[in-house]
Amino acid sequence: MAFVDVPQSRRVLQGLAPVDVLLAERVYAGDCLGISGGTWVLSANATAEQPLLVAGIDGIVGETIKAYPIAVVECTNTASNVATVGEIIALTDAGGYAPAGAGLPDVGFCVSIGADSLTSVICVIAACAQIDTARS
Amino acid sequence: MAFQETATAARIVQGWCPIKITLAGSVAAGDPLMYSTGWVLATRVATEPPLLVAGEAGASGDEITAFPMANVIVTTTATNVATKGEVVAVLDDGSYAAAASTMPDVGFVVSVGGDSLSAVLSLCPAMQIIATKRT
Repeated sequence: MAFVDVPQSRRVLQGLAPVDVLLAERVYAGDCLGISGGTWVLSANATAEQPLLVAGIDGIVGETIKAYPIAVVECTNTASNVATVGEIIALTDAGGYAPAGAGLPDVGFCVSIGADSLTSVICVIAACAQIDTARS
Repeated sequence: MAFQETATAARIVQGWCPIKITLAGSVAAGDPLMYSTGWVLATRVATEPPLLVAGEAGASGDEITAFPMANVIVTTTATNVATKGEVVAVLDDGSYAAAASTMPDVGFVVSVGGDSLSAVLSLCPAMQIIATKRT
């Protein structure tokens, strides 16, 4: 079966180039963040909320947290929903991670899975797909 | 002539977001890696793009550190020297060269040695496959 992850507090194993962001929505560590109405929220089912950063810790509305443009995140999954090493990872409309699919934004790839198949480590480069226009 | 590195064993690597991986084949430090029933040197497999940069040399079964983003110093000849700012791709044998059709872009040239025999590459191989926006 395909990889399934839901928004929940995850272990952020590595993060690069930390920035402080003020939250306008509850998020969990490892969630992808986007902008809605000029504020940072969980990147979910809205074209305007394209993924840009990865939350370093859990946070609620009004809190300032560390976030990263690039991060390595450990996701918890069932053995039947473990990721496949090397596969491209996207975001679901609910803000969880899943295999790449139509209409879902690519955000990274799977680096490794736990020996018990109950965890998947993914490398997330959240904004990558958004930075795509060459000078003309 | 176009950029082409010449001595893959002589690379120097500085990387970010280190990740431990287990190899399924021999690699040199700075090699681009793909996953093909194990982490191996990224060669020409359309369905298995380069994703990581090896932080150190290793053989099949070794656990090494790899990076999603790295700077790599490569060796060139004076006639195959790189050009600052040019986009860099991976050849079918896993070495770095100037971008060209059918080869995956993995980064760009940051600087060239004063003797024109080396170049510093900034690499983030997975960027070329993380391309689809939410719709």
